Amino acid sequence: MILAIIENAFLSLIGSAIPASAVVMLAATGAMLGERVGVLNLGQEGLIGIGAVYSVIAVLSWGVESPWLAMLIGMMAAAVAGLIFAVCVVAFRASQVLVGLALALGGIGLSNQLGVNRNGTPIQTLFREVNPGGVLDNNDALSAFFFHDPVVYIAYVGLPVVLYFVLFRTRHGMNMKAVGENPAAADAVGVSVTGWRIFYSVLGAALTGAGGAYMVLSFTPTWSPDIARGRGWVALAVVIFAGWRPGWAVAGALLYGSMISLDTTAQARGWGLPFMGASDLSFFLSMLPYVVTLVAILIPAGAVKLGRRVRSTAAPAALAIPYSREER
Amino acid sequence: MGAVGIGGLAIGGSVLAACGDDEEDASGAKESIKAAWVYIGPPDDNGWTQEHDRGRLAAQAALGDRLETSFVPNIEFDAGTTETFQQLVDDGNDIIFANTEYAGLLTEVSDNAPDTKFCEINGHYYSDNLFPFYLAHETTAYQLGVAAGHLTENGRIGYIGAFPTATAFNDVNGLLLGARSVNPDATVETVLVSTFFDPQKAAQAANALLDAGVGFLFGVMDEPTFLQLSEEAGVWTGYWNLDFRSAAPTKYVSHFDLSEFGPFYTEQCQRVLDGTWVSQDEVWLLDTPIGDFGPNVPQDVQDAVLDVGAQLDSGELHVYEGPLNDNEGNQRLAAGETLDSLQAYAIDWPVEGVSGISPV
Repeated sequence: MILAIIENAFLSLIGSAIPASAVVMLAATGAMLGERVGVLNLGQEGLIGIGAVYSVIAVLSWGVESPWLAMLIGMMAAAVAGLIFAVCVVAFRASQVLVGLALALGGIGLSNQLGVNRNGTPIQTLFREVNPGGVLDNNDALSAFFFHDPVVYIAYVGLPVVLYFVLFRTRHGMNMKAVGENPAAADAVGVSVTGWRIFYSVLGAALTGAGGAYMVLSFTPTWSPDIARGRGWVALAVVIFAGWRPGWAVAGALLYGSMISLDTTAQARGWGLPFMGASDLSFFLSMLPYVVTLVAILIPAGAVKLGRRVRSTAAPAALAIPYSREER
Repeated sequence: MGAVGIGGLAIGGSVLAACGDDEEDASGAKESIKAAWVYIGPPDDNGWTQEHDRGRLAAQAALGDRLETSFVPNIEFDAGTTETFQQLVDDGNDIIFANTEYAGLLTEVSDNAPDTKFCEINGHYYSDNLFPFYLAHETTAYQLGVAAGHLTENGRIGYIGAFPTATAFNDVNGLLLGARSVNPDATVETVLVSTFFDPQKAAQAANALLDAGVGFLFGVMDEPTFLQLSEEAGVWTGYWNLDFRSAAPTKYVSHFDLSEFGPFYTEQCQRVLDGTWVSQDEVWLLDTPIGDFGPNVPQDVQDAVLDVGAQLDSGELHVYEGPLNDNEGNQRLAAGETLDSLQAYAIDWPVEGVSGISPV
């Protein structure tokens, strides 16, 4: 009985957490790509906004009828912003932190401005959930994991598997890691540090833009100002929690998503705490995702502090450090 | 994030109006005035702020060259808000309207600007130059509750609220008591999301309530995301702010009609022009009729709702009539006791049958 309730609770949480944090998953993958080659892009929040608003514009103003094409347009817009960022920090060696913050704030402002007159307008061009049918119908345990739209599977399964394979099973991935850990050595063996850093920053920005596009093309089919509302920052925290490993990012994103879902699911299902009234509970629950995120990024840091430094959980050694061939 | 919101100031109305600005005769009457609106959201939100902006434009149209209006959108609750109000005072506005309760962020300015008049929606502060106004919406919620009672088989109503304030209590209480007048087993399940405008949060709350099995979904959100989700789930729904059947073409029930903002704003501006504006010592409540019905609401349900509306208007029927308990089992109204709209404006408890929100 108790077990069934817990199972039911877990499944209803995970079932709504999966789509809720697909945006965090995509942005975390995007951020991780850049960070693996040594580029820290704090502008995730702005990139989500840019990706989202251009998808909205594509659908509402340009008459795009395919959600895939709308998402591609959002990704391309974010990629352009990512290219500007990459040129600033890689070619001109500007501070990654400052340019990243500028991108975060500027991207939010730009997307809010472009979104004027589009606020709240329903978007009809949406990703539709995949219905595998057959045995999966009416099966609570499985339906939490299936019956999502295709982007969810790309974000949680496709991208992490590809990224894991590339990073840990190919020469290309070894070179990527070299660019992030020891760019001088990579340079010495003929890898173009500048080129790789720019390429992966742009690709990462495009993926984060896909996260923003997903928000307006599936999760909440409408534009609203400040659309990212902290999800970009959470994505950066998820990368740290994951120790720059794609598989762990899935766990981090789902942990955050579960906490977000707990806020509304607990209230809707009447789950309470004995010492807290229903109204107070709502405030407590809306705080929880950020507290859990904070605790989650302390775990790897704590492991380091305790001397259990696992190589793969440490940040790329050259993260956020501009590379100059003359200064090596 | 408020600081990076759009801070643009849109100026409407006639430029000519600026000429005769401060000419004042002995009676305090003015040739022309400036009025400003401070908005919590964007004026194109298809919801709350849009209705206020329609009210602004109605006042503008009614008073023509004698009124110059402007608005500042997306003003959230932070230190920048006080600066915004101060700027509007310094710009020489004669009257300033706020479309959410900014409380101390506003009164810090209004207390030091005795020559400027202020009207704050849903406010709780009274001074010589500031008074609150709001909507008598518990009766509208009651009528929507009657509709929900007729339309749903299980009598389960979902409500997406923002904060545990009188607005939420009057919504859930009206819905529940209206629904119970039809179906004694009706319940209201509440999810509070601590914001009026965050479509992502509203979507999650809507999904959680729809998954839980509610038969009618309502909310105080400033945008219509939850209507779309209701439509997809095949669940009846309604809206606070305006007619938004396009978001839920087949499952739309009705909305709160907020078209009294225009006449209210016009009257306040007219009073400033005439030199007869005075502050009030109780909240100025606007009539909030129920709006037009969606196409699939059966005629007998529409008739029942309008009949209840007429009874509420005539005083024959009261939303709050004892005996009534709050949802923690304490009796709040004895048999025969009633609350009028002014008393309902201060209510701080949900009635028995409402879950997810507790007495303050």
